[in-house]
Amino acid sequence: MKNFLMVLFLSSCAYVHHHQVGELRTPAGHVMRKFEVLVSENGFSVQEAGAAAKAALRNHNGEAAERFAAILSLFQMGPRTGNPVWSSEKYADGVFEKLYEKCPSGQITGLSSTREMNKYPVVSGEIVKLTGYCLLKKTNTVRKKI
Amino acid sequence: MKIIFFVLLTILFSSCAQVRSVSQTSIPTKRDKLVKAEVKKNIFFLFNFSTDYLAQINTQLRKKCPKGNIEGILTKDVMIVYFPVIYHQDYVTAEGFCVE
Repeated sequence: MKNFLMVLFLSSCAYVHHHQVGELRTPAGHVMRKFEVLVSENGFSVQEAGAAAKAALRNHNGEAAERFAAILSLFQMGPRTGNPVWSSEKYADGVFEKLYEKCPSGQITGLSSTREMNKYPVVSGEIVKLTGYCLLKKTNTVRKKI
Repeated sequence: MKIIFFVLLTILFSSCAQVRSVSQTSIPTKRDKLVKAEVKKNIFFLFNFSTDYLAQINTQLRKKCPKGNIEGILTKDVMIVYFPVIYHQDYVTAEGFCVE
């Protein structure tokens, strides 16, 4: 129970793993519209699951569950950011198309990329976030909208 | 005595800042005006509920170079641990050249 409470206690919400700021251009005759693109996948912490299982099961195979988690975690060795995800890493591949959806002109500036994690006990949200500015030509219609 | 020596040695050699990531964009030929933006987030007991503070970097950079382009941006993402588990700070800086 103590381990389980520790897991809960030490869980926080938002972790930043990486942040990168891109070049900022402000060409004349354009206005900048801010946009955000976000893709995410569910992550799973085997270690926390093992600790939680041990605490919940106590004498009923709790140790075995923890050992199983330890063996499973051997398959997830190596440097990484956040937790391993359910499926593959392909969830991040869609950001390119999403950028064009947000800014069809393709004139993007100030593109910042953030790799972050929303963490909860055992599970997590593994997030890739891109924010930037879409450059729009200054017209009367655009001025009114912005 | 040995323990005190060991503790002092540990304090002397232990560090509290961790560089999580560094990135650099293409550096321009005109490098007269350097602009810098930084954001800090104090986090207690590892509880942090938002990463929106990162968006302020772009706003700060735009304010410092309103009529030009900012190129050659070096972004540093650092975590400084003041008291383990109790208090740490996320510290992100971005500095680049304002090309007008």
